[in-house]
Amino acid sequence: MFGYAGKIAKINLSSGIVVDYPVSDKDREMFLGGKTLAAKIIYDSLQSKVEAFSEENIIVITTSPLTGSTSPCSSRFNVSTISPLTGLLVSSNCGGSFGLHLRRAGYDGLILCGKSQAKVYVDITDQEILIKNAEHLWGKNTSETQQLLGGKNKGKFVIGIAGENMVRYAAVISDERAAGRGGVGAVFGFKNLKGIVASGKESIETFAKEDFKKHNLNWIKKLKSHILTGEQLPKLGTASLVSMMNFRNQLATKNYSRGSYDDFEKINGETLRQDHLIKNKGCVTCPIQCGRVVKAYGKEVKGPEVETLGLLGSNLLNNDLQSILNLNHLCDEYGLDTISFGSSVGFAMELNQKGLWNNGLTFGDCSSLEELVEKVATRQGIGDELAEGTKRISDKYGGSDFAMNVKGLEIAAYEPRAAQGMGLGYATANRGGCHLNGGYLVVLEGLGLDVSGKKARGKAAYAIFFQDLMEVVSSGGTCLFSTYSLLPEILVKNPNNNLVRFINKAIPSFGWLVGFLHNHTGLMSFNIKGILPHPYSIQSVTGFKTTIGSFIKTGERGYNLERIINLRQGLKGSDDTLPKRLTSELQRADDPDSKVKLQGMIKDYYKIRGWDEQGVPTKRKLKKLGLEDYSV
Amino acid sequence: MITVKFFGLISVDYNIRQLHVKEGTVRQVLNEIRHGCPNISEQQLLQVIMFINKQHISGNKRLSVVLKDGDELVLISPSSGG
Repeated sequence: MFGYAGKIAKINLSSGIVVDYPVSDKDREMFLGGKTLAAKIIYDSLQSKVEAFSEENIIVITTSPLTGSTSPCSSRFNVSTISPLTGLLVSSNCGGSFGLHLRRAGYDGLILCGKSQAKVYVDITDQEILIKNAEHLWGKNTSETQQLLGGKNKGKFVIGIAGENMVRYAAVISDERAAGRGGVGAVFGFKNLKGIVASGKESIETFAKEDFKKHNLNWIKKLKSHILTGEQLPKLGTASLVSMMNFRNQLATKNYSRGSYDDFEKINGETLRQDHLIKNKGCVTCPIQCGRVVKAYGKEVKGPEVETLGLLGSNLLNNDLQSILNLNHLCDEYGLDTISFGSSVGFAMELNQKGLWNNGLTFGDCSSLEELVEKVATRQGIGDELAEGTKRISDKYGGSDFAMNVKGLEIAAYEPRAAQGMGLGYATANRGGCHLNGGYLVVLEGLGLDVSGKKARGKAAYAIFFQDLMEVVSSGGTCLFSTYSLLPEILVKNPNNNLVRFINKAIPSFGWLVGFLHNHTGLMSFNIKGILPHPYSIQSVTGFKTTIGSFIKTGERGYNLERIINLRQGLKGSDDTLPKRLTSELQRADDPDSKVKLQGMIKDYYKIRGWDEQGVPTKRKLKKLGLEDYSV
Repeated sequence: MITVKFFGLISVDYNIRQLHVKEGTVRQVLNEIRHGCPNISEQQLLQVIMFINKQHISGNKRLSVVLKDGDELVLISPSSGG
């Protein structure tokens, strides 16, 4: 077997029994790894609807054939479970070193089932798995817990106090990287599981070693020379987007009531670099190094991503960058998702402003936010209610039209009324309101390319293509930034060139072609290594014949399987929607196009996906994907 | 005076956030920027995305737009993703 350690352990936290979970070569070839393989395991293991906080719920941690390999940006691993925010499948991706250490310990993945009576952590060393007492770790933050769990040659994946208290958007942290979205940390806490530590010296065999090495060197060279991955991200990080989002009216501001923030220059990437940057820091095996180490209140802390700057900055009318840096640090230490936390606070501020919930929180007054992080993590006072997320807060206090979540998951910092395709992505993402699982079309709609964000035409096909692409890239084990070479540099660098302007205008017209190719992946039975290096990398490491077409099809298979799990969990087509603020209120009164025209796009989306009018994958589609044995 | 603001790589690479220049067409303003910051090439200035008073301007005609006293011209390098 090439590209895999070959073992997945099923750990029963109730009984303490550990067994090997069978995965066939066919399963590996069909589902690859990461979130897609995790979906297969969850589909097979759960068989009917389960509640997030129940012993029947399982946590599946999966690595991928490229995890920890010499491929660039390949530290990624995945954790999936039923989300306490959405009640649906959540897959959360992390760039910490735990994944590669898990593989060195001899495992491709772990399945954690049942519930421990005592507080425990799992220790994995060279294929030996022990469940150990974690009383001494309980009540510790994430950095201290990781320190207590051991040294440099160990991978750690732990929750903080928020997870212990089952905050519905609690994260799990590895190094300084978070599996942030969907509340996986709360499920750890429910199971009395503080974390996992893994180490070992196992090595994984590569199918075509020299070819793989050569291919990866070329890939790294390409990333280093591309303007986005070689210059923009290393120099400014993802925070570079704040300014452009602001000018494009895509920056979530004042609980998404606006798309731009008067004080954006106080919180943008340029100011972060000028006033706070100490050095770059990236994930293991990453040549891009988009991470930051910054100074806040005299301390060296991890720098914020663009989503955090939006949700804890403009969305709260908080123009104090130092405060945002510290909030980001505190959220990591307590183990909280900054997106859901920021969105919940923003929603609470608007409820307070409208007299629907007298909670003392006011836009622009951010003096109490640091204390509020602790209150949420420990569920004290109003923190207990904020810990439930926007959907449950709106169930209690009203305001569902401006509770900025989809299916219960708070949407990211990209305001979609100026990015129609991003709006469609939020509405349809399996994870809920996630920008990445939604296909991230905003990168075409003003952030990377200059395709009009106001127009809905053609967006459904592109959203599907990018959703499936991101699905399979994640399943392969590399960071999504490793796909940027897909965007031809000439289109990014020369937005004013007449030919480039023509292409940007013409892109929506080619939606039909993208949709056609998506449904005829056999026409793409080839590789173009310079544009999409991933399939060839997968082929070189595993020996599975992989082309662009089969690669995309694996992503589509995963996306459809996740949809089936969600339908089994009770999802309806009518849940593929957005808060009314985004579909009914104009972002700018003088622009009738400044709302998301969702209905038409959803219809196109279902049609191109091969789903029926209720959003259920048809038997024909499932058969085409080799999923004929899978049903709701 | 016109306020010219720089964002993205052009701001980082030339260590420049803001300039004040005389009124004129966008082309004249760009020439004045080059005069003040000779390291910035004409090509780089022509590649940036422009906003005048928060309105996006593009195409060849953008260079002929007249900037008046108090106007704000934003020059921003293309961005990426997060």
